[in-house]
Amino acid sequence: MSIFEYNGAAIIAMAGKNCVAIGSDLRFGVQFQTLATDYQKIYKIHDHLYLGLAGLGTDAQTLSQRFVFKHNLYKLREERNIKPSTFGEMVSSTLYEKRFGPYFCSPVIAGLEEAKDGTWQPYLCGMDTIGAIEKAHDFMVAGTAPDSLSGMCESTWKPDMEPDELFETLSQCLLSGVDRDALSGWGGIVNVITKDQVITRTLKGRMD
Amino acid sequence: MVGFDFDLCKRNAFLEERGVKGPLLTKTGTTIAGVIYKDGVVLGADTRSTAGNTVADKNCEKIHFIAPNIYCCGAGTAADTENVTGMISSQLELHRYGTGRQSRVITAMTLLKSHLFRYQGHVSAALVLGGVDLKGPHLFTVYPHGSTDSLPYATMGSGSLNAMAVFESGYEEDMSKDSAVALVARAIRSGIFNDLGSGSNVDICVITKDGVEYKRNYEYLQGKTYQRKKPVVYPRGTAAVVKERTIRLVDVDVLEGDATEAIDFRAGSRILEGEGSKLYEAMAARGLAGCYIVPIQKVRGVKAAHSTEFYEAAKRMERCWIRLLDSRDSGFNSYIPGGKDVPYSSYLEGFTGNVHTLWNCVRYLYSCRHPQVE
Repeated sequence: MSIFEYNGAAIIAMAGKNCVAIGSDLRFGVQFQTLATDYQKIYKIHDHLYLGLAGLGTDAQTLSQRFVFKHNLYKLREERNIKPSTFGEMVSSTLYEKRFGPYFCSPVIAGLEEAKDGTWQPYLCGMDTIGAIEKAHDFMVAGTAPDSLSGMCESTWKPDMEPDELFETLSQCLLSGVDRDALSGWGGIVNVITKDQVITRTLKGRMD
Repeated sequence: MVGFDFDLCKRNAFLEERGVKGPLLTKTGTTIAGVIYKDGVVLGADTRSTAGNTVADKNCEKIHFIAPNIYCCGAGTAADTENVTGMISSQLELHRYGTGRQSRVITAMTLLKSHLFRYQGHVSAALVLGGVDLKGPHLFTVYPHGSTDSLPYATMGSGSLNAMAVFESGYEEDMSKDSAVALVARAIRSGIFNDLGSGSNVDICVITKDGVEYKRNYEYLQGKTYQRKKPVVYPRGTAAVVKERTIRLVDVDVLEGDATEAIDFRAGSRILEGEGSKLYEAMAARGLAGCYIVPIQKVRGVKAAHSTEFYEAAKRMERCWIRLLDSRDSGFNSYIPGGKDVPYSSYLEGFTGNVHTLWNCVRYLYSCRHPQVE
């Protein structure tokens, strides 16, 4: 067994037109034993920045707390919220610090960043457990079913989706993706982030 | 120099002992190459990164900036190549800052090899380092254990044999820029098409004494060979939604300071000082419509009637300015018309127009003071 398959997770983030969405499944389990079906793997850093952590649950919680802590210190020092791209570098260096004894987590970061022309552009990136950043302009997946998730995304994602369409696309990728994974599923949760609002929707999924 | 943290090593080793496998790392399967030509150096790289057999990134960047006159191609574990080049780049930046001289390629090479040797090959970065300095063009390969070669043409990564085959048959001394770029691109292409660890596109970087030409996706080979006639469209309502929650973020400006500062902030000029409703009338007149939750000392001077007026005015307004209360203030409830004991949510009941805005403000303020409550 791989340590990544101890708890199970499915996370997708997708970019749209001036919006970004990130969703996860809701299962929390220990190997084949399901313990909870309302367990989110997505953590809010600030209004326009969300972090998904797949992998070992205990490390995901530790890391999310460390990032909230680091962001709090950042806010005290800079008196503003952190930019998603800056946050990505911070996550990367936090993980690379543990190069030879890593946290068993692979993060997905989704956020909106104000561009020079005043528009809000999506920022998406993912990482391996030791912080090798992989920037994406389209979508990013993580978890125990990366192949079926990325297969769905690869065939259904298209550029410049509006928030509603982005939500439907991501939801279908998530719901269909986890159907072929025993370790994730039990419904999902999707956050659609635009400049003005964040819509959080809980999805009905298969409960098996 | 990074200091690694070995806190989790014992735990992870224990897990491994119990038969739990560690995670897959992102590697750059990689074909990277470089040649020296008449006026400088040409570096090339493919753009595939892999995790196991899966392509992790179809278009990643493997030619890293080291200094304005030095670049470095990286193969091996993606995190290591990224970080080792970044670290050496920042050391050289400081060195230039200290000495006021251009960085030398051999300095970069020495810093790289001493770092890699220190970690005995565990920092698995295989590099092709190229640049032009006062001594002319230089090209080095750096191996993960810290050994280096100085070569006229070099390749690294899983596609190094494919690329080297091209170099061995096609390399000439003192090539022109065009033929050097063409040769490197051909070498990378042979890796892309014949080595499974390499793929996607060709990146090229040409370094001369006069500057750098970074040709990102010099050859774009990754386009899809198929295209759907009609893209998949999931109509609204395809996914069954159990619960929906919308958090409005618009119109919330959080500003520290007092009302006049808020006005200054928006209008760029000091306008007025005043109490309660008057302030808001003035703000509204200037298109600064907003509700401002006034510092406590100001509120004390305002009668209940004023406060009500103020909230009435706020109801019609678009924006919201808030002052973040400091810890000495007696609390948010002081601002509520009607007295201290009314819970903050009840005064919001009167609002219709921008209740979301105010709610967000209150939520924000409240969460600042009581982080455990959302």
